[in-house]
Amino acid sequence: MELLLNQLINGLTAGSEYALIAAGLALIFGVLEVVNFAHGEFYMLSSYYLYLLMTRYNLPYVVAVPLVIVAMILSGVIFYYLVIRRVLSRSWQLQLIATLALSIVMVNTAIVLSGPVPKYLESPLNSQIVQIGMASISVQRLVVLAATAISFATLYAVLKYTRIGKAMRAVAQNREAAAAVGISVEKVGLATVVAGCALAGVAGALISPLYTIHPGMAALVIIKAFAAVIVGGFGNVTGAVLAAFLIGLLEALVTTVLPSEYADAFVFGGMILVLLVRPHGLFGRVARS
Amino acid sequence: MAGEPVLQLQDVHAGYGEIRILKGVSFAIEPGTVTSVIGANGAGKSTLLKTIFGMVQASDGAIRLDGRDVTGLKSEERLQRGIAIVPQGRCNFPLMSVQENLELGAFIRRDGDIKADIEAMYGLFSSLDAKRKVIAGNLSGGEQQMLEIAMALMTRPRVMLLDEPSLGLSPRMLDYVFSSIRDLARGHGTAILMVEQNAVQALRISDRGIVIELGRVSHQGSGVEMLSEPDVRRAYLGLPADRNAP
Repeated sequence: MELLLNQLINGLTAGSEYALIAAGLALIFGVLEVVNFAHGEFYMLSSYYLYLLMTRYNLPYVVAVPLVIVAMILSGVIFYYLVIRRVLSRSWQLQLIATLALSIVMVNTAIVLSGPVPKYLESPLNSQIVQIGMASISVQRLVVLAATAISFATLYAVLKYTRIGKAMRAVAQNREAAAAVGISVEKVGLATVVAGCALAGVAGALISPLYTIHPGMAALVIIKAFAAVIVGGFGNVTGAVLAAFLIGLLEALVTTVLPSEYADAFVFGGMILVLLVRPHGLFGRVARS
Repeated sequence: MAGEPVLQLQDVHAGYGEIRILKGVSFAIEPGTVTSVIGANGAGKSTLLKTIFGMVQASDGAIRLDGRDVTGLKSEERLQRGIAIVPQGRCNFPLMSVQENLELGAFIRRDGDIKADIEAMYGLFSSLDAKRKVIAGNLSGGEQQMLEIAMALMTRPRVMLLDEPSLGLSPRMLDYVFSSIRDLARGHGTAILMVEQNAVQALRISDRGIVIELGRVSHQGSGVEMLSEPDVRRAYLGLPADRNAP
């Protein structure tokens, strides 16, 4: 029972990480129809921002985290104008090459600047343990869960009620109709990319104290995030988030009873199974009009 | 048919990259009138509407709205000035309700009359009134077409561009859409410029007809004149050249 509860929290934490990254991927694809192959590197970038702020500038964790989010928003603006805006109405091949190239550049820049050796960050919340029933859980994991919930509540409210959020949904549903009612696809694109980068920033700032920081850290996570996006129905943000939590929980469940090497086999086997039964994903629409 | 033109095109050239589609189009339309553009596939009818709205930039010539040059403006600015478009095919937000679609139709407006205008649209298109909360994708084809016209009207346009408003509609729905278009022009003073495959029916409700041939205006005249012009009848209306022929 204690093990199960611990594993449940672990699964939800991993699910949060995948979900925050998958949501950004799904958002950028859903609104702009661009697959951002550099998305994982933004997660990596935010972890390095956190490392820099905490070790070079000796800022406490709680001060560094909001600064990381601000830095990620600014990085999103630069990323949009430097890469995405230029390929927005170009072919998908060009978009793929552009974002893939950026991903490679970012990973190698990280290697040059910080070396390939993993870095460790200590969050004071990591060593604070609370007892829930019989399970002992680090406060850091609870913060991850709470911050993820707040992030998604904010995203939902923005998409549902704000002017820019409605414009994002409009562009996602029909780009030509959006242009006809005077919605600027460029402004919507900027907001979408910034939102995606900010979500990746939340993931990096919250999760990296639990793991290690290194230039290739995104590789394992981004594959799960892509799986979540695909299983959730490409471009469907809610679907991607739910699928991400399913993947996190499935991993935790498998590692409870089997050696952890089997977890990926179950996750991707499950993905293949879902796609065999529902080729458009669990929550995907059959066709985009 | 007297009065100042609301929209004027003067020797407009436009195209996509190297491909020239419009090669010097000139005509003018007046407030409160319906003008139909007819022509063969690929003659440049849709490009004409997109160029007037600014989705395609004119490479040469001038487009004037109420005498003011709008040729260099972006689509959003033209919309602000009073040019609205209903592009070909489905042009609504299929997962949003009728109400949300109408609200988005007024996206560029920031005044306080939006709610009142939405109510006015429900008065104008009564079939939408009963379906305020229905998502647009679940409406019938005719209702969606009405919704799209209502969305365009939410900007209170001086000129409304309609690309194939009858596409995919049943004959009965088509009559309804066409008579609504005519009433809109008469009642609101909106000038309507439409591209239509159903050329005969379109010309019957039109004040003017324009034939586009290879990127230029080859014929123009009143709707009635177009319907009796032998060349137009034979080439574009699928009718015998002599209107008295059996």
